[in-house]
Amino acid sequence: MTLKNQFSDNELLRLMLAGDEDALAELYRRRQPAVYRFALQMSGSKSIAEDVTQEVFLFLMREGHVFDPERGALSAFLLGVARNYVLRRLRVDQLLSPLGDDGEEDGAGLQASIDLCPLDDLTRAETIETVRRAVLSLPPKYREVVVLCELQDVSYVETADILGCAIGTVRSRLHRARALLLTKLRPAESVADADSASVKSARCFA
Amino acid sequence: MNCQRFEQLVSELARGQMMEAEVRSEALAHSENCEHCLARLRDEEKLTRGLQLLAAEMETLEAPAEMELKLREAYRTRHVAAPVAANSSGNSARSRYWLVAVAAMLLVALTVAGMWWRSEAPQQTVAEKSPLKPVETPIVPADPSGSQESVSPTQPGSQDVQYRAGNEPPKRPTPKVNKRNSVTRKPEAQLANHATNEIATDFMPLGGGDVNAVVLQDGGQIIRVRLRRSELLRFGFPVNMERYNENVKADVLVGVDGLARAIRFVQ
Repeated sequence: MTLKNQFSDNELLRLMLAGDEDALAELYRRRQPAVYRFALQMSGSKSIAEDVTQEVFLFLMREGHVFDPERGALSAFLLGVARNYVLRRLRVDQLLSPLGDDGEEDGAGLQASIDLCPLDDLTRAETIETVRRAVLSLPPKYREVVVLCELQDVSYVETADILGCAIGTVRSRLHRARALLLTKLRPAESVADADSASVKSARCFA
Repeated sequence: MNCQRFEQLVSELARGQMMEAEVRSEALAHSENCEHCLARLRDEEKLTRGLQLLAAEMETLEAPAEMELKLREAYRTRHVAAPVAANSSGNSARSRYWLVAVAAMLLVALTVAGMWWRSEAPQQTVAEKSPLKPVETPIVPADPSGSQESVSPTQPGSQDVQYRAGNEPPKRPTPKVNKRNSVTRKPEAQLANHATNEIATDFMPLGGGDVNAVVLQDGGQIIRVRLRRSELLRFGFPVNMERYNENVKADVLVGVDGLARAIRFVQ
Protein backbone atom coordinates (compact mmCIF):
# COMPACT_ATOMS: atom_id res chain seq x y z
CA MET A 1 0.00 0.00 0.00
CA THR A 2 2.72 2.46 0.97
CA LEU A 3 4.71 1.69 -2.15
CA LYS A 4 1.80 2.29 -4.49
CA ASN A 5 2.52 6.02 -4.66
CA GLN A 6 5.80 5.22 -6.37
CA PHE A 7 4.09 3.43 -9.21
CA SER A 8 3.32 5.12 -12.50
CA ASP A 9 -0.25 5.64 -13.62
CA ASN A 10 0.06 2.82 -16.11
CA GLU A 11 1.31 0.39 -13.48
CA LEU A 12 -1.47 1.39 -11.12
CA LEU A 13 -4.02 0.90 -13.86
CA ARG A 14 -2.65 -2.54 -14.64
CA LEU A 15 -2.77 -3.51 -10.98
CA MET A 16 -6.26 -2.09 -10.62
CA LEU A 17 -7.54 -4.08 -13.55
CA ALA A 18 -5.94 -7.16 -12.02
CA GLY A 19 -8.01 -6.69 -8.87
CA ASP A 20 -5.78 -4.55 -6.65
CA GLU A 21 -8.09 -2.22 -4.76
CA ASP A 22 -5.22 -0.23 -3.29
CA ALA A 23 -4.06 0.57 -6.80
CA LEU A 24 -7.50 1.96 -7.54
CA ALA A 25 -7.38 4.06 -4.40
CA GLU A 26 -3.95 5.46 -5.27
CA LEU A 27 -4.92 6.18 -8.85
CA TYR A 28 -8.13 7.83 -7.71
CA ARG A 29 -6.37 10.05 -5.18
CA ARG A 30 -3.79 11.01 -7.76
CA ARG A 31 -6.14 11.81 -10.64
CA GLN A 32 -9.54 12.69 -9.27
CA PRO A 33 -8.77 16.33 -8.40
CA ALA A 34 -8.03 17.23 -12.01
CA VAL A 35 -11.07 15.35 -13.24
CA TYR A 36 -13.31 16.89 -10.62
CA ARG A 37 -12.02 20.42 -11.24
CA PHE A 38 -12.33 20.06 -14.97
CA ALA A 39 -15.94 18.93 -14.62
CA LEU A 40 -16.67 21.71 -12.15
CA GLN A 41 -15.09 24.40 -14.28
CA MET A 42 -16.89 23.16 -17.35
CA SER A 43 -20.29 22.82 -15.73
CA GLY A 44 -20.24 25.21 -12.80
CA SER A 45 -22.14 22.61 -10.82
CA LYS A 46 -20.76 20.56 -7.94
CA SER A 47 -23.34 17.83 -8.37
CA ILE A 48 -22.47 17.43 -12.04
CA ALA A 49 -18.77 17.45 -11.20
CA GLU A 50 -19.27 14.72 -8.61
CA ASP A 51 -21.37 12.64 -10.94
CA VAL A 52 -18.87 13.01 -13.75
CA THR A 53 -15.91 12.15 -11.53
CA GLN A 54 -17.66 9.04 -10.34
CA GLU A 55 -18.61 8.06 -13.88
CA VAL A 56 -15.05 8.54 -15.10
CA PHE A 57 -13.60 6.16 -12.54
CA LEU A 58 -16.39 3.66 -12.95
CA PHE A 59 -15.62 3.76 -16.65
CA LEU A 60 -11.96 3.17 -15.84
CA MET A 61 -12.92 0.10 -13.79
CA ARG A 62 -15.12 -1.20 -16.58
CA GLU A 63 -13.20 -0.24 -19.69
CA GLY A 64 -9.72 0.52 -18.41
CA HIS A 65 -8.26 -2.00 -20.81
CA VAL A 66 -9.10 0.29 -23.75
CA PHE A 67 -6.47 2.78 -22.59
CA ASP A 68 -3.43 2.68 -24.86
CA PRO A 69 -0.28 4.13 -23.26
CA GLU A 70 1.19 4.61 -26.72
CA ARG A 71 -1.44 7.21 -27.54
CA GLY A 72 -0.98 9.47 -24.53
CA ALA A 73 -0.91 9.80 -20.77
CA LEU A 74 -3.57 8.35 -18.53
CA SER A 75 -4.31 11.80 -17.14
CA ALA A 76 -5.20 13.01 -20.63
CA PHE A 77 -7.27 9.90 -21.20
CA LEU A 78 -9.25 10.54 -18.02
CA LEU A 79 -9.83 14.18 -18.92
CA GLY A 80 -11.02 13.10 -22.34
CA VAL A 81 -13.51 10.72 -20.76
CA ALA A 82 -14.57 13.45 -18.35
CA ARG A 83 -15.07 15.86 -21.24
CA ASN A 84 -17.40 13.44 -22.97
CA TYR A 85 -19.45 12.92 -19.82
CA VAL A 86 -19.62 16.65 -19.10
CA LEU A 87 -20.73 17.57 -22.60
CA ARG A 88 -23.33 14.83 -22.56
CA ARG A 89 -24.62 16.00 -19.21
CA LEU A 90 -24.71 19.63 -20.33
CA ARG A 91 -26.67 18.70 -23.42
CA VAL A 92 -29.20 16.80 -21.34
CA ASP A 93 -29.50 19.63 -18.83
CA GLN A 94 -29.88 22.15 -21.63
CA LEU A 95 -32.73 20.11 -23.07
CA LEU A 96 -34.41 19.82 -19.69
CA SER A 97 -33.89 23.40 -18.48
CA PRO A 98 -36.75 25.89 -18.97
CA LEU A 99 -36.33 28.41 -21.76
CA GLY A 100 -34.63 31.68 -20.76
CA ASP A 101 -32.78 30.33 -17.73
CA ASP A 102 -29.36 30.44 -19.34
CA GLY A 103 -29.68 33.94 -20.68
CA GLU A 104 -30.93 35.25 -17.40
CA GLU A 105 -28.13 33.75 -15.38
CA ASP A 106 -25.20 34.12 -17.74
CA GLY A 107 -26.06 37.39 -19.39
CA ALA A 108 -27.81 39.56 -16.86
CA GLY A 109 -25.91 38.32 -13.82
CA LEU A 110 -22.54 38.65 -15.46
CA GLN A 111 -23.38 41.97 -16.99
CA ALA A 112 -24.46 43.35 -13.62
CA SER A 113 -21.20 42.43 -11.96
CA ILE A 114 -19.24 43.84 -14.86
CA ASP A 115 -21.18 47.06 -14.88
CA LEU A 116 -20.65 47.57 -11.19
CA CYS A 117 -17.08 46.45 -11.04
CA PRO A 118 -14.67 46.82 -13.90
CA LEU A 119 -11.88 44.26 -13.83
CA ASP A 120 -9.35 46.71 -12.45
CA ASP A 121 -11.44 47.59 -9.42
CA LEU A 122 -12.65 44.16 -8.43
CA THR A 123 -11.59 42.58 -5.21
CA ARG A 124 -9.94 39.22 -5.44
CA ALA A 125 -13.09 37.26 -4.68
CA GLU A 126 -15.14 39.36 -7.03
CA THR A 127 -12.57 38.95 -9.77
CA ILE A 128 -12.61 35.21 -9.35
CA GLU A 129 -16.38 35.06 -9.43
CA THR A 130 -16.57 37.36 -12.45
CA VAL A 131 -13.99 35.36 -14.37
CA ARG A 132 -15.70 32.13 -13.37
CA ARG A 133 -19.01 33.35 -14.73
CA ALA A 134 -17.37 34.62 -17.88
CA VAL A 135 -15.73 31.27 -18.48
CA LEU A 136 -19.01 29.45 -17.91
CA SER A 137 -20.74 31.69 -20.39
CA LEU A 138 -18.38 30.70 -23.20
CA PRO A 139 -19.55 28.23 -25.81
CA PRO A 140 -18.36 24.72 -24.85
CA LYS A 141 -15.72 24.43 -27.55
CA TYR A 142 -14.03 27.62 -26.30
CA ARG A 143 -14.73 26.92 -22.66
CA GLU A 144 -12.95 23.58 -22.75
CA VAL A 145 -9.72 25.03 -24.14
CA VAL A 146 -9.76 27.78 -21.53
CA VAL A 147 -10.35 25.27 -18.76
CA LEU A 148 -7.65 22.94 -19.98
CA CYS A 149 -4.99 25.41 -21.07
CA GLU A 150 -5.58 28.24 -18.62
CA LEU A 151 -7.11 26.66 -15.53
CA GLN A 152 -5.69 23.14 -15.64
CA ASP A 153 -2.37 24.22 -17.15
CA VAL A 154 -2.45 21.40 -19.67
CA SER A 155 -0.06 21.75 -22.59
CA TYR A 156 -1.29 22.39 -26.10
CA VAL A 157 -0.20 18.92 -27.13
CA GLU A 158 -2.15 17.21 -24.38
CA THR A 159 -5.13 19.47 -24.95
CA ALA A 160 -5.13 18.54 -28.60
CA ASP A 161 -4.96 14.92 -27.55
CA ILE A 162 -7.87 15.31 -25.13
CA LEU A 163 -10.03 17.20 -27.59
CA GLY A 164 -9.03 15.10 -30.54
CA CYS A 165 -7.99 18.00 -32.70
CA ALA A 166 -4.83 19.62 -34.07
CA ILE A 167 -2.59 21.81 -31.97
CA GLY A 168 -3.25 24.70 -34.32
CA THR A 169 -6.95 24.35 -33.60
CA VAL A 170 -6.24 24.52 -29.90
CA ARG A 171 -4.22 27.71 -30.36
CA SER A 172 -6.82 29.42 -32.50
CA ARG A 173 -9.67 28.42 -30.20
CA LEU A 174 -7.80 29.67 -27.19
CA HIS A 175 -7.09 32.94 -28.88
CA ARG A 176 -10.72 33.34 -29.80
CA ALA A 177 -11.84 32.29 -26.32
CA ARG A 178 -9.65 34.89 -24.67
CA ALA A 179 -11.01 37.54 -26.96
CA LEU A 180 -14.54 36.52 -26.01
CA LEU A 181 -13.65 36.60 -22.33
CA LEU A 182 -12.23 40.06 -22.59
CA THR A 183 -15.37 41.22 -24.31
CA LYS A 184 -17.49 39.73 -21.55
CA LEU A 185 -15.35 41.13 -18.76
CA ARG A 186 -14.95 44.59 -20.18
CA PRO A 187 -17.51 47.11 -18.96
CA ALA A 188 -19.88 48.55 -21.50
CA GLU A 189 -18.00 51.84 -21.56
CA SER A 190 -14.72 50.11 -22.00
CA VAL A 191 -16.21 48.07 -24.81
CA ALA A 192 -17.14 51.28 -26.55
CA ASP A 193 -13.69 52.67 -25.90
CA ALA A 194 -12.16 49.48 -27.16
CA ASP A 195 -14.23 49.66 -30.28
CA SER A 196 -13.04 53.17 -30.96
CA ALA A 197 -9.53 52.12 -30.08
CA SER A 198 -9.76 49.29 -32.54
CA VAL A 199 -10.77 51.78 -35.18
CA LYS A 200 -7.74 53.81 -34.29
CA SER A 201 -5.57 50.75 -34.19
CA ALA A 202 -6.55 49.94 -37.69
CA ARG A 203 -4.44 52.84 -38.68
CA CYS A 204 -1.67 51.91 -36.37
CA PHE A 205 1.07 50.02 -38.13
CA ALA A 206 3.92 51.16 -36.00
CA MET B 1 6.41 44.05 -36.13
CA ASN B 2 3.01 45.53 -36.90
CA CYS B 3 -0.31 45.48 -35.02
CA GLN B 4 -1.64 42.44 -36.86
CA ARG B 5 1.44 40.44 -36.01
CA PHE B 6 1.28 41.76 -32.44
CA GLU B 7 -2.36 40.67 -32.18
CA GLN B 8 -1.32 37.14 -33.07
CA LEU B 9 1.25 37.10 -30.32
CA VAL B 10 -0.40 39.09 -27.58
CA SER B 11 -2.08 36.11 -25.85
CA GLU B 12 1.15 34.14 -25.80
CA LEU B 13 2.98 37.21 -24.60
CA ALA B 14 0.54 37.85 -21.77
CA ARG B 15 0.51 34.21 -20.69
CA GLY B 16 4.30 34.11 -20.58
CA GLN B 17 4.45 31.29 -23.11
CA MET B 18 7.76 30.23 -24.58
CA MET B 19 8.69 32.04 -27.78
CA GLU B 20 11.77 33.19 -29.55
CA ALA B 21 13.57 35.90 -27.61
CA GLU B 22 13.88 38.08 -30.70
CA VAL B 23 10.15 37.88 -31.44
CA ARG B 24 9.33 38.68 -27.84
CA SER B 25 11.54 41.73 -27.75
CA GLU B 26 10.10 42.98 -31.05
CA ALA B 27 6.55 42.57 -29.71
CA LEU B 28 7.34 44.41 -26.51
CA ALA B 29 9.04 47.16 -28.47
CA HIS B 30 5.95 47.50 -30.66
CA SER B 31 3.62 47.73 -27.65
CA GLU B 32 5.75 50.58 -26.26
CA ASN B 33 5.25 52.51 -29.46
CA CYS B 34 1.56 51.59 -30.04
CA GLU B 35 -1.00 52.72 -27.49
CA HIS B 36 -3.69 50.35 -28.67
CA CYS B 37 -1.41 47.32 -28.67
CA LEU B 38 -0.17 48.28 -25.22
CA ALA B 39 -3.78 48.38 -23.98
CA ARG B 40 -4.40 45.02 -25.59
CA LEU B 41 -1.39 43.62 -23.81
CA ARG B 42 -2.54 45.06 -20.49
CA ASP B 43 -6.04 43.59 -20.95
CA GLU B 44 -4.58 40.23 -21.81
CA GLU B 45 -2.35 40.36 -18.74
CA LYS B 46 -5.33 41.22 -16.54
CA LEU B 47 -7.28 38.37 -18.01
CA THR B 48 -4.38 36.04 -17.41
CA ARG B 49 -4.19 37.18 -13.80
CA GLY B 50 -7.91 36.69 -13.39
CA LEU B 51 -7.71 33.19 -14.82
CA GLN B 52 -4.72 32.41 -12.61
CA LEU B 53 -6.67 33.59 -9.58
CA LEU B 54 -9.56 31.37 -10.57
CA ALA B 55 -7.25 28.43 -11.14
CA ALA B 56 -5.55 28.99 -7.79
CA GLU B 57 -8.89 29.31 -6.08
CA MET B 58 -10.04 25.99 -7.47
CA GLU B 59 -6.72 24.23 -7.17
CA THR B 60 -7.57 22.67 -3.83
CA LEU B 61 -11.01 21.50 -4.83
CA GLU B 62 -11.52 17.77 -4.82
CA ALA B 63 -14.35 15.35 -5.01
CA PRO B 64 -16.00 14.54 -1.66
CA ALA B 65 -14.23 11.91 0.40
CA GLU B 66 -17.23 9.58 0.42
CA MET B 67 -16.89 9.17 -3.33
CA GLU B 68 -13.74 7.14 -2.83
CA LEU B 69 -15.65 4.86 -0.47
CA LYS B 70 -18.42 4.45 -3.04
CA LEU B 71 -15.94 3.66 -5.75
CA ARG B 72 -14.12 1.17 -3.55
CA GLU B 73 -17.41 -0.50 -2.77
CA ALA B 74 -18.31 -0.61 -6.45
CA TYR B 75 -14.86 -1.96 -7.22
CA ARG B 76 -15.20 -4.66 -4.56
CA THR B 77 -18.62 -5.63 -5.83
CA ARG B 78 -17.32 -5.80 -9.33
CA HIS B 79 -14.24 -7.83 -8.48
CA VAL B 80 -16.11 -10.17 -6.17
CA ALA B 81 -18.75 -10.73 -8.83
CA ALA B 82 -16.15 -11.20 -11.53
CA PRO B 83 -14.44 -14.27 -9.97
CA VAL B 84 -17.86 -15.76 -9.19
CA ALA B 85 -18.82 -15.25 -12.79
CA ALA B 86 -15.48 -16.67 -13.84
CA ASN B 87 -16.00 -19.68 -11.57
CA SER B 88 -19.53 -20.20 -12.76
CA SER B 89 -18.37 -19.95 -16.33
CA GLY B 90 -15.63 -22.43 -15.47
CA ASN B 91 -18.18 -24.73 -13.90
CA SER B 92 -20.45 -24.44 -16.85
CA ALA B 93 -17.51 -25.16 -19.13
CA ARG B 94 -16.65 -28.22 -17.07
CA SER B 95 -20.32 -29.24 -17.06
CA ARG B 96 -20.42 -28.91 -20.82
CA TYR B 97 -17.27 -30.99 -21.03
CA TRP B 98 -18.77 -33.73 -18.94
CA LEU B 99 -22.03 -33.63 -20.85
CA VAL B 100 -20.15 -34.02 -24.09
CA ALA B 101 -18.10 -36.84 -22.61
CA VAL B 102 -21.20 -38.66 -21.37
CA ALA B 103 -22.93 -38.14 -24.69
CA ALA B 104 -19.91 -39.53 -26.50
CA MET B 105 -19.82 -42.55 -24.20
CA LEU B 106 -23.53 -43.15 -24.77
CA LEU B 107 -23.02 -42.88 -28.49
CA VAL B 108 -20.18 -45.41 -28.38
CA ALA B 109 -22.24 -47.75 -26.20
CA LEU B 110 -25.22 -47.50 -28.54
CA THR B 111 -22.98 -48.13 -31.53
CA VAL B 112 -21.47 -51.21 -29.90
CA ALA B 113 -24.92 -52.45 -28.90
CA GLY B 114 -26.17 -51.91 -32.42
CA MET B 115 -23.23 -53.81 -33.88
CA TRP B 116 -23.76 -56.62 -31.38
CA TRP B 117 -27.46 -56.71 -32.19
CA ARG B 118 -26.76 -56.93 -35.89
CA SER B 119 -24.25 -59.71 -35.33
CA GLU B 120 -26.79 -61.57 -33.19
CA ALA B 121 -29.66 -61.22 -35.66
CA PRO B 122 -28.42 -63.85 -38.18
CA GLN B 123 -27.95 -66.37 -35.35
CA GLN B 124 -31.56 -65.92 -34.36
CA THR B 125 -32.62 -66.50 -37.95
CA VAL B 126 -30.71 -69.75 -37.97
CA ALA B 127 -32.32 -70.72 -34.68
CA GLU B 128 -35.72 -70.00 -36.09
CA LYS B 129 -35.04 -72.44 -38.92
CA SER B 130 -33.99 -75.14 -36.51
CA PRO B 131 -36.63 -77.84 -36.12
CA LEU B 132 -35.96 -77.95 -32.42
CA LYS B 133 -36.75 -74.33 -31.92
CA PRO B 134 -40.07 -73.86 -30.22
CA VAL B 135 -42.59 -71.32 -31.28
CA GLU B 136 -41.09 -67.99 -30.56
CA THR B 137 -44.23 -66.71 -29.05
CA PRO B 138 -46.14 -68.91 -26.73
CA ILE B 139 -49.38 -70.28 -27.87
CA VAL B 140 -51.57 -70.14 -24.87
CA PRO B 141 -55.10 -71.25 -24.37
CA ALA B 142 -57.88 -68.86 -24.62
CA ASP B 143 -59.23 -67.64 -21.37
CA PRO B 144 -62.58 -69.31 -20.89
CA SER B 145 -63.83 -66.37 -18.98
CA GLY B 146 -63.26 -64.29 -22.02
CA SER B 147 -61.52 -61.59 -20.10
CA GLN B 148 -59.19 -59.49 -22.13
CA GLU B 149 -55.86 -58.88 -20.52
CA SER B 150 -52.82 -57.49 -22.11
CA VAL B 151 -49.79 -59.64 -22.71
CA SER B 152 -46.33 -58.21 -22.50
CA PRO B 153 -44.20 -58.93 -25.51
CA THR B 154 -41.81 -61.81 -25.14
CA GLN B 155 -38.15 -61.04 -24.78
CA PRO B 156 -36.14 -62.80 -27.43
CA GLY B 157 -33.27 -64.59 -25.90
CA SER B 158 -33.33 -65.84 -22.35
CA GLN B 159 -36.72 -67.52 -22.26
CA ASP B 160 -36.17 -69.17 -25.61
CA VAL B 161 -32.87 -70.59 -24.45
CA GLN B 162 -34.49 -72.16 -21.42
CA TYR B 163 -37.27 -73.48 -23.59
CA ARG B 164 -34.87 -75.05 -26.05
CA ALA B 165 -33.04 -76.73 -23.25
CA GLY B 166 -36.16 -78.64 -22.37
CA ASN B 167 -36.91 -76.81 -19.17
CA GLU B 168 -40.32 -75.83 -18.17
CA PRO B 169 -41.45 -72.86 -20.13
CA PRO B 170 -41.53 -69.74 -18.08
CA LYS B 171 -44.79 -68.63 -16.70
CA ARG B 172 -46.41 -66.01 -18.80
CA PRO B 173 -48.83 -63.36 -17.84
CA THR B 174 -52.47 -64.02 -18.49
CA PRO B 175 -52.80 -63.94 -22.25
CA LYS B 176 -54.94 -61.62 -24.23
CA VAL B 177 -57.80 -63.49 -25.86
CA ASN B 178 -58.11 -63.16 -29.58
CA LYS B 179 -61.72 -62.89 -30.49
CA ARG B 180 -61.18 -64.75 -33.73
CA ASN B 181 -58.70 -67.35 -32.66
CA SER B 182 -58.65 -69.50 -29.61
CA VAL B 183 -54.93 -68.93 -29.36
CA THR B 184 -53.09 -65.67 -29.19
CA ARG B 185 -49.79 -64.95 -30.84
CA LYS B 186 -47.53 -62.24 -29.62
CA PRO B 187 -46.01 -60.59 -31.34
CA GLU B 188 -47.87 -60.96 -34.54
CA ALA B 189 -44.97 -59.53 -36.43
CA GLN B 190 -43.05 -62.78 -35.98
CA LEU B 191 -45.57 -64.49 -38.22
CA ALA B 192 -45.59 -61.62 -40.62
CA ASN B 193 -44.71 -63.85 -43.56
CA HIS B 194 -47.87 -65.83 -42.97
CA ALA B 195 -50.24 -63.54 -41.25
CA THR B 196 -49.84 -60.24 -43.04
CA ASN B 197 -53.14 -59.40 -44.66
CA GLU B 198 -54.30 -62.93 -44.09
CA ILE B 199 -57.41 -64.29 -42.46
CA ALA B 200 -56.97 -67.48 -40.52
CA THR B 201 -59.23 -69.91 -38.77
CA ASP B 202 -58.64 -71.14 -35.27
CA PHE B 203 -56.13 -73.90 -34.76
CA MET B 204 -57.94 -77.22 -34.86
CA PRO B 205 -56.35 -80.25 -33.21
CA LEU B 206 -55.22 -83.08 -35.37
CA GLY B 207 -55.74 -86.58 -34.03
CA GLY B 208 -57.80 -85.47 -31.09
CA GLY B 209 -56.75 -83.84 -27.87
CA ASP B 210 -56.47 -80.25 -26.81
CA VAL B 211 -54.13 -78.25 -28.94
CA ASN B 212 -53.57 -75.70 -26.23
CA ALA B 213 -52.50 -78.32 -23.74
CA VAL B 214 -50.10 -79.84 -26.25
CA VAL B 215 -48.58 -76.52 -27.05
CA LEU B 216 -48.22 -75.58 -23.44
CA GLN B 217 -46.32 -78.73 -22.69
CA ASP B 218 -44.09 -78.99 -25.70
CA GLY B 219 -44.13 -75.84 -27.67
CA GLY B 220 -43.85 -76.34 -31.40
CA GLN B 221 -43.31 -74.84 -34.80
CA ILE B 222 -45.71 -73.54 -37.38
CA ILE B 223 -45.24 -74.70 -40.93
CA ARG B 224 -47.06 -73.17 -43.86
CA VAL B 225 -48.40 -75.83 -46.23
CA ARG B 226 -50.72 -76.07 -49.19
CA LEU B 227 -53.60 -78.51 -49.12
CA ARG B 228 -56.33 -79.47 -51.47
CA ARG B 229 -59.45 -77.45 -50.85
CA SER B 230 -61.31 -80.70 -50.38
CA GLU B 231 -59.46 -81.12 -47.09
CA LEU B 232 -61.62 -78.34 -45.69
CA LEU B 233 -64.51 -80.73 -45.62
CA ARG B 234 -62.73 -82.85 -43.03
CA PHE B 235 -62.86 -79.95 -40.63
CA GLY B 236 -66.47 -79.07 -41.38
CA PHE B 237 -65.86 -76.04 -43.59
CA PRO B 238 -68.05 -75.48 -46.65
CA VAL B 239 -66.30 -76.01 -49.98
CA ASN B 240 -67.12 -74.43 -53.29
CA MET B 241 -67.42 -77.41 -55.54
CA GLU B 242 -66.37 -75.39 -58.58
CA ARG B 243 -62.97 -74.79 -56.93
CA TYR B 244 -62.78 -78.26 -55.47
CA ASN B 245 -59.40 -79.08 -57.00
CA GLU B 246 -57.70 -75.85 -56.01
CA ASN B 247 -55.24 -75.57 -53.15
CA VAL B 248 -55.62 -73.63 -49.96
CA LYS B 249 -52.99 -72.44 -47.53
CA ALA B 250 -52.78 -73.81 -44.03
CA ASP B 251 -50.52 -73.50 -41.01
CA VAL B 252 -49.64 -76.78 -39.38
CA LEU B 253 -48.50 -76.68 -35.77
CA VAL B 254 -45.79 -79.31 -35.37
CA GLY B 255 -44.73 -80.41 -31.93
CA VAL B 256 -41.17 -80.92 -30.78
CA ASP B 257 -41.62 -84.60 -31.51
CA GLY B 258 -42.21 -83.79 -35.18
CA LEU B 259 -45.87 -84.74 -35.15
CA ALA B 260 -48.50 -82.42 -36.52
CA ARG B 261 -50.67 -81.30 -33.64
CA ALA B 262 -53.01 -78.74 -35.06
CA ILE B 263 -53.93 -76.97 -38.24
CA ARG B 264 -55.56 -73.76 -39.30
CA PHE B 265 -56.60 -72.53 -42.68
CA VAL B 266 -55.44 -69.27 -44.07
CA GLN B 267 -56.92 -67.10 -46.77
